[in-house]
Amino acid sequence: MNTMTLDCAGLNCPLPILRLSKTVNGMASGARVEMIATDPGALKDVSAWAKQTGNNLLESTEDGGQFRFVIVKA
Amino acid sequence: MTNKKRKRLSSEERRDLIVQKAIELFSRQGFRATRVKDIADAVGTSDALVFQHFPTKRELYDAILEHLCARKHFTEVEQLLYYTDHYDLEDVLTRLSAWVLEKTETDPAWLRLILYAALEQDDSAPDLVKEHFQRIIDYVAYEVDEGQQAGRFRPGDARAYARSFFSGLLGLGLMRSVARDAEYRHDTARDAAGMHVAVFLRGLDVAQ
Repeated sequence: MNTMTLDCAGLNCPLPILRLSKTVNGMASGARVEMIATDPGALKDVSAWAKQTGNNLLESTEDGGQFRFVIVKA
Repeated sequence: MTNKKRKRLSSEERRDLIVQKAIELFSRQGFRATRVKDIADAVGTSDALVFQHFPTKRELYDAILEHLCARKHFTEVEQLLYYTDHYDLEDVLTRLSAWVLEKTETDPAWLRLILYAALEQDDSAPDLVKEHFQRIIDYVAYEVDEGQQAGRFRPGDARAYARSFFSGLLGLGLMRSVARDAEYRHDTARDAAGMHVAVFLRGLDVAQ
């Protein structure tokens, strides 16, 4: 399945989650999006957002200050 | 403390205490005049322990600003932004602006730190204060850009509009703190924030 990439590197919270939310709202159920972010706040925010909205946070990794999340729309 | 045994602070508690004492000292005497030794003395610890928590002055500044702009203040706004399908931009901006005005009017340490950051240009404090304000400016610019793309807002430099909005807000907070007369004090921070946001949004609105 194709995974869309959302590059939020360099953006401060709340922008990464706002962009993620907007992207996921426009996706079909089961579709995936990979988000790249650098604001450390994104780590907590993406996880809380996925939990509250019921979307599935499939992967959450950090490499040298860059965070990568893979989300599957519920 | 009258207890014979003083409670041993956890590393996290000591770190918080260093930040609190640093805020008191920086806001009383400025960034430049405050030495690490002053902070250590106020906490009742050694310079070495302060350095252990904050190896550079910049890291200490960062912790101070994180403390003053604690994310918990924005939780209400984040809830609206993240979990409301169609949030009301005027409401979100008014809540954010009311927070900035209330903080400026009621927290002397916050206001003093901003003023010292403006006065002490040779220090790294101004950059950090700007970076923390930038978070709000970035968000406002994002909303202006979205409105422009949707054809609701007038074209133009979204970032310049956002900077102008935030600078006006900070100036309003400063004037409300300085002025003691009814012209600036007749309404609440929330009402003043609402007026500031309304003027901004009406100015951008293509339909007006």
